[in-house]
Amino acid sequence: MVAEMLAGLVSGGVYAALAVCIVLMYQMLGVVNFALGAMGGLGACMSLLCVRWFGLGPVPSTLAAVACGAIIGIVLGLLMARYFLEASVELRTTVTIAITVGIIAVGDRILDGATYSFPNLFAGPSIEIFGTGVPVGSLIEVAAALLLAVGVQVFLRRTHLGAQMRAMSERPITAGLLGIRVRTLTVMVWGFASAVATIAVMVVLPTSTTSFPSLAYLVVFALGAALLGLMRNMVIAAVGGVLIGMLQSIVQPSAIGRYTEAVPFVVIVLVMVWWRRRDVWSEAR
Amino acid sequence: MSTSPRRSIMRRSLTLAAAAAIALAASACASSSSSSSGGSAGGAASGSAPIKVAQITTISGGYPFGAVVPGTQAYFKMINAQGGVDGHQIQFVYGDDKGTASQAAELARLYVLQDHAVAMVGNTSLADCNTNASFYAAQDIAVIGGGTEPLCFTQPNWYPVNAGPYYGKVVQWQYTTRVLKPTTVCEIEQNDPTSIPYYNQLRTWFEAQNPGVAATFKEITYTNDATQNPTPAVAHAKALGCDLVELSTVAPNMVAFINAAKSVGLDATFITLGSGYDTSVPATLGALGDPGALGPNDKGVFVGAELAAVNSANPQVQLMAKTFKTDGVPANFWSEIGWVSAAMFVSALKEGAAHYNITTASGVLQALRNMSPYNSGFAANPMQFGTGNSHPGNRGSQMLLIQNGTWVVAPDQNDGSYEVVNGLLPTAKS
Repeated sequence: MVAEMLAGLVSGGVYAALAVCIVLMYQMLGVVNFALGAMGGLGACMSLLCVRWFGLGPVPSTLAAVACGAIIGIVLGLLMARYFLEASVELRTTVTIAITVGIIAVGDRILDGATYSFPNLFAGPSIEIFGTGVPVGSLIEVAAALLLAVGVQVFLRRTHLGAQMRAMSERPITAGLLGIRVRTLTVMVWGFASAVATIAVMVVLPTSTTSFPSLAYLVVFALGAALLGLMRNMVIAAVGGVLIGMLQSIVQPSAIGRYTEAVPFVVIVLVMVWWRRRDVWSEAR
Repeated sequence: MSTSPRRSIMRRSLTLAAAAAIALAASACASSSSSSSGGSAGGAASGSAPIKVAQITTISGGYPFGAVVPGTQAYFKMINAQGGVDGHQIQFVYGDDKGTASQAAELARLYVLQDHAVAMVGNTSLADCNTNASFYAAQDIAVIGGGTEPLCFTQPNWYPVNAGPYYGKVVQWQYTTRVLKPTTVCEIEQNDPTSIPYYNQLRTWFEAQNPGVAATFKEITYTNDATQNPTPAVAHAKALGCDLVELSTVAPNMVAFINAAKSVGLDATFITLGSGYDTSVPATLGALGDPGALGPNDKGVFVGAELAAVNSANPQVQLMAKTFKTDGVPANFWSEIGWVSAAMFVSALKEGAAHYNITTASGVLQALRNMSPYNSGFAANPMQFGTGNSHPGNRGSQMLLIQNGTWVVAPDQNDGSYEVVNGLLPTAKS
């Protein structure tokens, strides 16, 4: 069981990073971004094109992919800021679903069922923990996701720009009237989240099927982790992502392995029941 | 005179309704995802009626069978350029059923009842065999394609050109136990509830035929590796001490499994079914594909290619490889299925053209049922549609191994360069 649990750090790191970005975007922009996995996947595909078309090495193609991921986020952020800045959360979230479908259609054309060797800066080295090799890249990703969660929260609370962002999230129109560059900040958050998603997906790509929908699907499990943080606490969301990855990893090879994908749902239900237990019991009394 | 508000509203509503109707009609034409190709636009040489052929393949929403389409198209394009079959050009359409029964049923009816297709060639679908069996029988429609479900191998009108997951799996077990001789085997199978019962039945049968084999099989793990990272399954195999891992997956996933094995330190041989065969795999894996890359127990990366390797010296395979290169068709298991299905179909029609009306469904079915054995150059045994109630098709695979960055034919196969199941497998218990 220990071996399987440690193996879950591979997926857990991705879920953690994506969950932090989901909470960030929800808190700052009022959107549940279903397209985040697809955006990261499309950015990661750019590394493949860099290798294929320009013959770039692993480092430049990775950097180019992250830059492309950021640009994808910026473009989508511009569209959202232009047309949906004052729309409801539900409408903005629905738009991200449409974006997901569109990106999957593009990504499917790039990954056409053949095998590809994506540039992987963390290829090879693993650390033996309790007799199981754990990829260094995954350990770094988990640590980075936790640091990202802490760092973003500190940034939002302690910096002037962070204060502006919090103001924008609370009252976007008032913030705009007070001179806060709401659209610029919106675009920045989209670009940042997309770049982080690209990095997260690239770390897990060597051990992932190169079916584009499966990369877009990563956001589903990350959403479960984000819900664990009640779409408010990024640190809990990050920890939740790691835990979901590890739990799925334990369940997958077991007799109930075919229900692996239900793990986030079960975790959320248990957490919600526990969290609301006082209200329910008080009412019962 | 000004128009009354009510008339204005009515006119606007009618305009909107008309626009909606046009949009719906346009989307209905697009939703079947069908496309035609095959040279009918080139003009029949003699003005004879074309032979209308269709294909239903799961292109999206499941496994990457999409390369079947260009494989089939490439063959028909070649035949049409040579004048067609007995002067008849082949008109080919295809559709994506997205792995769903409703879409498979809709496409079958569209092609047969509306487009008057006389046969289905190259069908490789997760849903077609289960959904359309009785429809094809009722309409006298013959199907030649890639079998993916047990029912593809047990229908009177369906001929699978591949060995399929069942003959393919028994071949894999034969070669593993006789040649690779592992100490402990872990199987990582697809989580497909429809195929598990027959798979278990075959395992029991194989173990009864081969005493002692049962002890080497440690565990079967079921995974949906289309969405799940393979690392946990591989870590589990390492924890169990397995030195051989049997897979049942497609090439991109197989690469992911081997990368995961490297990362967790699993020292084992990997072997997978023909669905794992793709010419890009050796280059993608690089040194990781060579024997010994994962450790001393690693005898290499094997695949049971149900159709001959693309770099085979056989002239028919070479013709395919050359055509694929010219047409930009990816060379893998799926495109081979498309090509071989079309080749078998055309061979039967050429033979039967003098006796049957090969532009009708019943004529095509008769030509197929009465065809002579066809040596495709790709399979372990000759292909012959025949008159039986079931067609097991190809009963062997060509075991391949990665060596020095390319696929080579693995040694010690029981029928020269193929590993063959002698006799027929037991039928699935209902």
